[in-house]
Amino acid sequence: MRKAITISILFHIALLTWALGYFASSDTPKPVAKITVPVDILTPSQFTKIKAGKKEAKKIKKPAVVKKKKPAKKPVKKIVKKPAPKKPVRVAKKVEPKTIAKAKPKPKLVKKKIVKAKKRIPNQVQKKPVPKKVTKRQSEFDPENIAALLNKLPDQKPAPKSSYKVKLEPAPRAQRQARLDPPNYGRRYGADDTMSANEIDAFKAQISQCWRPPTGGLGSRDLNVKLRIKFKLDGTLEKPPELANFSGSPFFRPAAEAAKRAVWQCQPYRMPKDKFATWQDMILNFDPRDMFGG
Amino acid sequence: MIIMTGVLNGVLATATVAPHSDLSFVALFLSAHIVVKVVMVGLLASSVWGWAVIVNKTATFKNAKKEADDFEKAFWSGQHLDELYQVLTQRTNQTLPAVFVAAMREWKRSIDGAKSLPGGVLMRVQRVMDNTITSEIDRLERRLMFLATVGSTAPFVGLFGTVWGIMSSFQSIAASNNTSLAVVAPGIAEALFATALGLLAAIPAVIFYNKFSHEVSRHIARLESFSNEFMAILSRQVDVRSEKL
Repeated sequence: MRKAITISILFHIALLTWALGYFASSDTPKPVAKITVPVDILTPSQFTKIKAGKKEAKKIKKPAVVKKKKPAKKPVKKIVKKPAPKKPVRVAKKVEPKTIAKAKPKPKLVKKKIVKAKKRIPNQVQKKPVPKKVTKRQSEFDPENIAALLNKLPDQKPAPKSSYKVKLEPAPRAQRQARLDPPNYGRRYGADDTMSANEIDAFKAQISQCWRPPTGGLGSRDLNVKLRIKFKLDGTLEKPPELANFSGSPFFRPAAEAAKRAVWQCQPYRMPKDKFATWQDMILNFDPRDMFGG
Repeated sequence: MIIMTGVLNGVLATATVAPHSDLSFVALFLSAHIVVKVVMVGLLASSVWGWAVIVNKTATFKNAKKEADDFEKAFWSGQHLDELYQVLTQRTNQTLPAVFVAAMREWKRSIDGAKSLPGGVLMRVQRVMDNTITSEIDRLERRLMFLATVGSTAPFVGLFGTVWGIMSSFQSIAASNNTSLAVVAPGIAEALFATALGLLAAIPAVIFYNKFSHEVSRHIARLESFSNEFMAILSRQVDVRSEKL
C-alpha cells in the first residue's frame, strides 16, 4: 500500500506541475481599454416625439459616422425644395415629399407637451434630433444605421446648447422653446399616434378590476360586448357608454350591463393626456376570455 | 500526505508574489475563502488516496488472477493432490490455492489415523472452504468502499465549494456596486476550480470502482466453482474408501 501511495502522490504532483505551467502561460490577459458606448434609453413615446419636424430646420453638419453610407447629394433635391432655408441634410428615402414640404409650425398643444418631456430628460432629448434626422424618418428599423444611432458623441458638438443652460436664461417663452426644441425635420406632429403597450395594459388592468362578467350561462363565454366610450380629458366618461353590438342571446343583456357597469365604476382612467386624440373616442371589446382594449 | 502538504506549502510560498488578478491555480487557491480552501484540500487528498487505492487494487487483482491461473494449471495437470498440497503449504497463498490448502488441511486431519471414515468430513471441508472464500473476498474488496464513496460524494463536495465561492463573488458584487466581469470573474473561477477538483477525484474513482467490483464478482464465481468441483472430487474419494472398508 505504501508503494501505491507514493505512486499516487507522484502522479498528482506531476499533474499539478503540468497544470501550473499550462495555466501560467495563459494567465496574463492584456488589459483591454474600456470602450464606453453611450446609450440613451427611450420609451417608445419619447422616440416618436423626437421625430417631430420643423419647418425652419437648419442644416446640421453631418456626423462623421454617416459619411460612408452614400454621397449626400442625390436624395435631397426633390424633397427639400420649400422647407429648408439652407440645404438640409439629406433625408432618408422613405420620406414622402409632401409631408415635409407642407410642414408648418407645430400646433401649440403639442409643443407644450414636448417641452415638458424635454425638461424631464434634457440630455437625451437634446441629442436625439441630430442623428435621427439622418438615419430614421419613419419608424422603420434600418439595421444598417444602428451605428449612427448609437454613436452620439460626435453629434454633441454641433448641437446648439445644453438645455440646462437654456433653462437659466430669462429668455421669452417662445425663444426658450425654440432653443429647447431645436428645429428639425420630420412630420408635422411630434405627438405619438399610438398608445404604447404599457398604457394599453394599464388601461385594461384598470377596467378588469371592476369587471365581473356574468358566469354560468350556456355559451356565455362566447359573448362579446362592444361598448363605445367617449372620454373627457381628465379621464372620466363624457357620457354613459353605449352598446356597439347586439346579440340575441338571453345572456347578452346581463353581460352588456356588467361591461357598462365596469366602465362606469372605474373612472376616472389614468390615461396619457398628450395622446387624448387617440383615446378620446374608442370602442372597447369585452371578451370574457380575454379583454381587448382600444 | 506529509510530502504532499510540504509540496503544497512550497508552491504556496512562491505564489504569494503573484498579483491577485491572475487566474493561475495558485492565485485561485490563495484568494479563495477558507471554506473553499478546505474543500479543495480535502478533494485533493481524497484524489491522492483514491489513486493509491486504485494502484494497489490493480496490483492485487493482477496477482490474484495470476495465482489462480497457475494453480488451476497445476491442479488439472494430473499431479497428485497430496504433492501439490505439500508444495503449496511451503508458502503463503491467496485465492484459489488458499481455498485448496484449507480444504486439504481439513481433509487430512479428518482422515489421518482414522480407522473408519468419519461421518461429517465432507460437511466440514465445505465449511472450511466457504470460510476461506469469504475471507478472500473480504481481502479483495477492502478499500473499494472508499472509491465508491469518493465517486459519489466528491462532485457534491466540489459543488459545495462552488456554491460557496459564487456566494462570495456575489457578495463582492454587492460590496463594489459593480457588476463588471472583472469583479465577478475571480470568484467564479475559484468556485469552478472546486468543482473541477471534485470531478477530478470522482471520475477515476467511479470508473475504477466499477471495474474492480466487476472483477471481484468474477473472482467469487471462480472460487465457488472451484470449491464445488473440489467437493465433487472429495465425495468420490469418500465413496471409494467406504467401499474398500
